[in-house]
Amino acid sequence: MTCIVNVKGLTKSYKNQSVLKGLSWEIEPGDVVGLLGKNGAGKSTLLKSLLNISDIDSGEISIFGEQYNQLSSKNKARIGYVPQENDEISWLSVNDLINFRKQFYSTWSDEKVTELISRWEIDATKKIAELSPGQVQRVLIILALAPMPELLIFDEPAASLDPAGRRDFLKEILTLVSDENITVIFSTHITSDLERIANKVAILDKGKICYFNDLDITKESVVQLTVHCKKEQGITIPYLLRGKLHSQGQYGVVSQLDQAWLAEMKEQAVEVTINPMGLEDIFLELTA
Amino acid sequence: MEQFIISPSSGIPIYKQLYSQIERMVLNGYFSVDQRLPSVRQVASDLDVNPMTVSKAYGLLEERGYLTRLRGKGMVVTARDDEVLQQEKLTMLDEMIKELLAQAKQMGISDDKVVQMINRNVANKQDETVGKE
Amino acid sequence: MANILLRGWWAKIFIILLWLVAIAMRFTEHDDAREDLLFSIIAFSNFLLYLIVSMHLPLLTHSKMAVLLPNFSQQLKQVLLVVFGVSLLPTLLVLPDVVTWLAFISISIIAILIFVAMIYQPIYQIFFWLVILMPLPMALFDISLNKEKLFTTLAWLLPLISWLAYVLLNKLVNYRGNHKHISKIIATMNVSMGNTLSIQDSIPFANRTKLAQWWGNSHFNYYRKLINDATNSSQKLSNRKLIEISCQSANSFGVNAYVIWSVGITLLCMLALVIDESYHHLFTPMVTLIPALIIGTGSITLFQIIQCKKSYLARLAILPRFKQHNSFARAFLGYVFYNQAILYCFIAMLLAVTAKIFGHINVTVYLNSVLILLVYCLVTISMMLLTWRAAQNYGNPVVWLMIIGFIGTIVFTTHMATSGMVLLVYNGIFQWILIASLLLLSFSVFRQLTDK
Repeated sequence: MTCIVNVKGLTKSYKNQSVLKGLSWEIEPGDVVGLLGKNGAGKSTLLKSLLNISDIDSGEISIFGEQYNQLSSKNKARIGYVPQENDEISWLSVNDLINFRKQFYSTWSDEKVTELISRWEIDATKKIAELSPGQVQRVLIILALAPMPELLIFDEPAASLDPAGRRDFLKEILTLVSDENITVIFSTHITSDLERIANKVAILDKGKICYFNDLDITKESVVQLTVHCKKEQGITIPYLLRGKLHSQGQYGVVSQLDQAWLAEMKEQAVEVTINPMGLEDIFLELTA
Repeated sequence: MEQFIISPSSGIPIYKQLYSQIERMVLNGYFSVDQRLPSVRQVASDLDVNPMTVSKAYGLLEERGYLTRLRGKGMVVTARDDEVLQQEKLTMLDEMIKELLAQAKQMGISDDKVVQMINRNVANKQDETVGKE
Repeated sequence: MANILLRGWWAKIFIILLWLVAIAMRFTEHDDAREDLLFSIIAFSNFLLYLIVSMHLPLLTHSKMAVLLPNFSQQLKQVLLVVFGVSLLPTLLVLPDVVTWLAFISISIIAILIFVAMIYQPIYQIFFWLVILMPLPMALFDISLNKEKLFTTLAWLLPLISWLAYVLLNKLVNYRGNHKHISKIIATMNVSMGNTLSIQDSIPFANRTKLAQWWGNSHFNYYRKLINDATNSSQKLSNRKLIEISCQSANSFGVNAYVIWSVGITLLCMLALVIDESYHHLFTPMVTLIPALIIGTGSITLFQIIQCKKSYLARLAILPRFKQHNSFARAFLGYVFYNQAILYCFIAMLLAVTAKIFGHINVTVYLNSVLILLVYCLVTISMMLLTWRAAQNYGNPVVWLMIIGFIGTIVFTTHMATSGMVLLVYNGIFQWILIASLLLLSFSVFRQLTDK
């Protein structure tokens, strides 16, 4: 299968601080990828680099099989992007901004715009500067969705939305995902959003995608284990991220559940309790 | 139509949560034989989860014989003989008892004690039904 | 896109008015002397248009989405070419012959190139000064200027110039560089005309140019010294001084501005005394432009500063020292009058000195100019006070009104200088205008003092 986004050896540094260190990443069509990372891990930088909005130091990026900085107009029209900070011209009215953007796309859907504007109760005659941050974010989302893109990239899309707005935004993305075969990449630090809509989770840490896997597999394999054993038995847990010994046995978090090891434990009559963890805990464990 | 309840932030994958809920609902007769289940889209939009998750749960239920995919109709509850159904129910109960015993052990309660407690509960229940009559 | 590039109704109306005036003059007057004036009007209005467009360009080229919008570069190029084409239409009607017209296009393109270069790379602002200082080398090296020859050359050069412009245009629509500088321009263009100054004050100190840092520091040092002196001695700062200190911005027309202009003018005058008198007329544009620049920056910056310090001044007004009735209003009026009075005295002096040395205006014209400036001064102060009192923010239109009124004043003054009018004080209409502006000022002062 051809990848929609293919990144190889991406490096980027600001002044003397390197942000991305030889990052590689592949995204397949139809994926809904949640990108997690601590503050300052470089999530925005990564997403902006993909779209040639910020320059990179080295590396290869291809989008729809084309080099990222030489995208044809046809492929540009297939991308929707919602930036983290709004840099739209503040004195334009929402209507003006919509008309400005519309002229670039042949696939622009007026119905979508009208529907979302009325659903999200945006006064389109107001200027961008007069809107609240949440409303601006909604406008940016509308602008990204209106050309009916096939690849949607959101940089912290829900950061300034209230819970209801966030849920509604998720619903909209879900409708798109189920209707069309679109690919979504979104960075966030709200893990509950990711858990609902993403099917894959990527974690950006120390300049690399340190973890990229199916969300369900992640939840099934990154787990807490309690091994009821004596110290003398000298059992070592495979793929241990962090562990602790105490009188009752061993406690630990693993990045992968080793079935062979589990079977072995069963043979030795060592009881192992598996406790699943929420994504937030998984994220904290993996980036600790 | 909020039939299912999920908790996305729990450590159990959403498809698994859905799977076990529907499994239980089929076994306890909430969904009767040949009854149509809500569509993948419907469930996904009700619960605000990725449709792929829902179809994964449905797929697994189909694989295990609970559901049958009918062309143009979606998923319906499979008609199975009582014997098989009975067996499934017993397996499920078995799992629950295992879980119960494990919990008891963690609290330092012996298996015998658990059996005793079950017997007492059964006796109490019989008394109640007798009393009512 | 065109509506983003051509933003601002005031500016658009002004440009169209100028075009209409030019066209009207073309069809009513058939005087040879008018040709030059017509050419100046059309050049001024078109240059203003080009300047507006080039100032707004970074909003498009340097927006984040620019790389992502399909066909962005081509569409931008198209729009720019259309705007340029439309701007040439009135010139077709106004300019007398083909050579002048072709030369005008050449000049326009060169002007556009300079404007855009100035916006995108501040280093090219040197071009602006080169154009102003043009008379100097011409005077020193005795280059005589033949207008017809120059125009013919420019007309013949048009293919070359337009080819160059087209190459640069292709570069421009894809240009993404010099982010740090452009982001400042974008910040300025993102607010309305009334706030351009306050946005510049919000640029972090470290991001400013070395010159701007030095300028701001030396400006504020004076006021720091004032405050320190007041704290060290028992004498308190007067209310007026206190307001003056609160109304400072890095762009204020302050002490160092006066010093620098004085030094500049002195140098210019010294130069004029050294070189032959026959070249003095070459300095006329410069010595006319300098007072104009000073008034423009001096009065408009004051307006913008008091406008954007409104809330700060309101907090100042509740200090115990202003508890006496009207004491704040009086101190504020004192500050505005004091500031503007010094500015206009400086201009009057400057005009007197340059008039004496360059002899480009005689006593009557000088007195007339001073009177006209006085009226302008009275009107702008009234506007400042009235806008300050107004509940709504009229900052944007007022700044445009001030600019337009100011340009009108300059045009009128030059016209008067060339037509050799009698002393204005004896002119009935002018007397009425003077009285009216005095009344307007009294009204605004009255409102300032009575309103709470």
